[in-house]
Amino acid sequence: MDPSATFFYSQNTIPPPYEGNLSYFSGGIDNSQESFYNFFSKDSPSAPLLSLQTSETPLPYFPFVWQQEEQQESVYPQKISGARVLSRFLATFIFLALVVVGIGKVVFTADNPYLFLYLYGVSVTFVLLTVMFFSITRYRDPAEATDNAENNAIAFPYPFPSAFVSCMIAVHNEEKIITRCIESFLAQTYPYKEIIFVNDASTDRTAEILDWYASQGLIQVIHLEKNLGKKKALGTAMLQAQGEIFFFSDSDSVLAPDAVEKSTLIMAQRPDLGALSGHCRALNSEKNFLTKMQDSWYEGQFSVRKAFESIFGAVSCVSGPLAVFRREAIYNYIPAWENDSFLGQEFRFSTDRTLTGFVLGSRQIDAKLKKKYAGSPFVEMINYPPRDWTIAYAKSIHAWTEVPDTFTKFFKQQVRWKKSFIRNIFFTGTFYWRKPFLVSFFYYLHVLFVLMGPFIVFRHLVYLPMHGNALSAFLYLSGIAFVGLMFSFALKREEPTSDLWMYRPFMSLFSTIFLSPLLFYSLLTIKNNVWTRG
Amino acid sequence: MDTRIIKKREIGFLFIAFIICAVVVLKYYNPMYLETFGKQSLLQFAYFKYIIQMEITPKPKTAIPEAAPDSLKTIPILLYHGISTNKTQSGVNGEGRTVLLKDFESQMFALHAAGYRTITLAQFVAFREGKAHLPDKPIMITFDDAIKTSYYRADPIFHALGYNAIMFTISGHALGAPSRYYLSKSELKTMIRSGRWQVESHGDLSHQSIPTNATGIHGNFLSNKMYREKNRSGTQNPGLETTAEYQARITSDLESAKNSLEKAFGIQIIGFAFPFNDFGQATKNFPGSGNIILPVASSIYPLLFYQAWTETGYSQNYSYEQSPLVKRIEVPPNTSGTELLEKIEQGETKNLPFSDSFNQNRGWLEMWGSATIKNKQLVISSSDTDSASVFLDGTGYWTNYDFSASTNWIAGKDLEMEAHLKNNQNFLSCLFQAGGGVYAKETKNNTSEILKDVFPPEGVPHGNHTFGIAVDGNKVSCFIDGDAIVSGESDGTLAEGGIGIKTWDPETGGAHVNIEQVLVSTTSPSQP
Repeated sequence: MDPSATFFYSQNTIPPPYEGNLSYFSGGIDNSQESFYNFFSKDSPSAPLLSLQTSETPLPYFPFVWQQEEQQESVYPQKISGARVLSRFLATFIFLALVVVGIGKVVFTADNPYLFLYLYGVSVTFVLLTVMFFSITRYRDPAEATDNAENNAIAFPYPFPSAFVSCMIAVHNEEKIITRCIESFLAQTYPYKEIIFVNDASTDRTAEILDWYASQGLIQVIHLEKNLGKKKALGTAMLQAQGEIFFFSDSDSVLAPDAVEKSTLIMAQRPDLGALSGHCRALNSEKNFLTKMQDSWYEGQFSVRKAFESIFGAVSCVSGPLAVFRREAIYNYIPAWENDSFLGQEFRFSTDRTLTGFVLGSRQIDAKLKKKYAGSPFVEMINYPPRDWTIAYAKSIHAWTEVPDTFTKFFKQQVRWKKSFIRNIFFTGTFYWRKPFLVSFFYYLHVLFVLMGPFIVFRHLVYLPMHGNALSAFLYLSGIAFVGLMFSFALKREEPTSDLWMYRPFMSLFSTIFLSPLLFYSLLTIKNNVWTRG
Repeated sequence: MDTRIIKKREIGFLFIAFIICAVVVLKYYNPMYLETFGKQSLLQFAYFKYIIQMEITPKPKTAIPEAAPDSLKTIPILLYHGISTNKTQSGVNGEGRTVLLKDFESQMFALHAAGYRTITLAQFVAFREGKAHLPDKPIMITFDDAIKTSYYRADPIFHALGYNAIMFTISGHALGAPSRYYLSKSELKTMIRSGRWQVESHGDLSHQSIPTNATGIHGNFLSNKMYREKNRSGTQNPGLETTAEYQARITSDLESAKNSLEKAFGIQIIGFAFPFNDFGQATKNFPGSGNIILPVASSIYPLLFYQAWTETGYSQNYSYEQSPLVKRIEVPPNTSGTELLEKIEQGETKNLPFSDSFNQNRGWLEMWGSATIKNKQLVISSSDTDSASVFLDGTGYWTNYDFSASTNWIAGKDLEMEAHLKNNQNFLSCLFQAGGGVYAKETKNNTSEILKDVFPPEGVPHGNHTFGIAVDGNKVSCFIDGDAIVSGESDGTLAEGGIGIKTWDPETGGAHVNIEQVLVSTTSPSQP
């Protein structure tokens, strides 16, 4: 079924529940209405890690009895013949190919008259090689540690509410897809939570839908009279949130049923974690070529790039569709987040990156921000001391988000992201160098690559061909496709039976040719803050 | 659920993926790069070998004389072609002009040990303009034709010694079809980038020969008119091209050589070396070609390099020369390092006062006739001509001096003592005629003018006498046995130059002079 299936709704009837494409989920969302009230039923098809004892008798909500169940099969069953061999082979191939090309660049392009271009070419390859190597051989999913029931029993911080989770979602004019989002929260296996939706002055029927769920006692709703933007909307929710753990998602995203449960377990067992990022993929991947391309792209951005940063506990961007923060780590900085300004003007983008930045730079920004917003209730109510938080990424916690399915929407989204990226160079960039050397060095290199990208593209695709070197464009694009292929193979390792990897090189080419020049447009219009989703 | 790892639709794409990987790998590991890489590695290897060789060679501990000021230095420019490791290919046995590698090594290390350091063409230009800062002993090394062996065998030596060189490149070969003999464009680029090589022009196609008459005799491109067969459409009669066509042909060749090299390497070309050292001398059908080649070439290139011969004067370059022509010394194939060093040192500026008893050759060069040093005498004889001429190399900066020679004049009609000599066409002289007069002469551009003459009553005798010439400003005086015979006033344009001796007799082989000693001393300042 099409995930964006039209939702029929009239005021006097109960809206039908979301009937989405279920193939994404390990168990699928139970469609029956009763399931809303029976999260802990033994019939729950999702068979979560954290679950009640299965017995004939109805179980009390409290106290919890922990029991390790048989390991749930992952999205892709382990019993694929040759999967392990393929995984080894692809990993070896990626390393070998990058080493061979890297050495080739070092040795055979040493006659490049421009030292900068030589270093650029060499470092692009070796950064990729290092990131690939670390993410494949060194990354450990923090969820793995929570598989041990004894550990869970010891570490989980009972009694509540220290593990009470506040799920917060800002909504603005999403009548078509909001039900899907609400349902995915209601289907969560984790019981001890509140779900707060903030209606950011929607003008369509979003408010009615939210109100209906609220009237059933399933969620809490805050209605804003004026459109304030995502940051201020979530700020309002946080003021009344009860949980020690803040779980954010986007209105266009859907969560795996065990998402809240797994992330809470991790946060409970890892007191050093200030925030946690989930693994995000495209919800509408099957729609067309563009969405497939993006889906394959997301996979690499998370399971390669974020995994690399996670090894050093310094994920630089906890992405919106599944972002878990510890109240302690961000609460005092919320006023600074809400009132973020850049070039003397309110800056509405860069929600995820800036919030992540507060956790990363806690020690550096703490005193300044608390002083600046001393009168704010977020600071007055309680004073959390700054700490050296780490931020991890958990590959096994899944969320799916709607990706732009037309080029216009895609370009608009990318402009927004580029603006956030630029804004954040001047925030996270000011203290990220304190992180472990490798990850911070690569962070600044990455900034340099992004800024230089358009010029390199211009040189190889326009300047050199115009000066008689027609081959350079072909060779350059081959090189780009080659980098894309490396991510392709990394994707194929993760999903051995999927053919999505074929779309990844196209994303690299598309990104290089069309997206990198958007940097200029983003720079020129960075003061233009209008957020539209296309 | 489909659990197959590879589906049909993925196979085609895997093939594309393979091609992409192959393209990217081949981009860096293509055979051309690999070959270059291999050769460059060998160069590095040879370089270290020479560095070690230099370290273990004992350094001579000779006192270094104080260097002359830059404006009084002379610059020798050496010329090589290819370098061979094999005697049968080298000029020693074969017809080629290539030098043996072991000779070349010995020459370069001898030069370096003697204190010679290479200068660039820009420094040479500045030297002529009087603005250069030169090493104590400047030298230039040039190669013609851009042959692969020149680069691959000489470069590690230059690298080790800190030398640089000029490669006169035939653009038609270097930028044309790939060759196993000539250096390619990319190799030349690598050379330029190393900073040890400078590329200049050796013509585009002008290193070829052209038909010069109907029988198919070929001659040099630059100095001959081309003979053309009847063309196919029959609109053109067979015959030699016109002078205008000739001029257009050589102009276009020299221009295209300059332009294509400048474009290919992004450099400025200011030097041109004449192919076959021929700017009119070796013509077969156009005796006036020299009068066209030189103006055409000098309008395109500020510096024209040629291999000097003795009639053109000193073997090295002087700072006062304004002509575009630059002299080079072509190193003969079987020359050892010491021999070359001796030859170069003979051409260097000699200090005044100067005396020579002919224990060894200190730079006497014969222009024509025969001049040899034996039994501590300089023997000058017109053995197979009617005259003989000899001059002393390395004296071109001398000015205002007395030059006297203790002479045993055996036979001949004339004996001419030359001073302020620049070459065989420009000098001041005293002509002593046996049994006749004494003439003070000034010769400019091969035109002699008698400044003053005197006819002593007893005539000028053969036998043992001391003949002399003194130049002091404009005054040219002639002496026999220390007695001033005659003096005249020159116009002063020949303000400096060296010494030479000439003898003549109407009969072939009739002149014979033995010089026993030569003394040259600065003229004492004349009293006002």
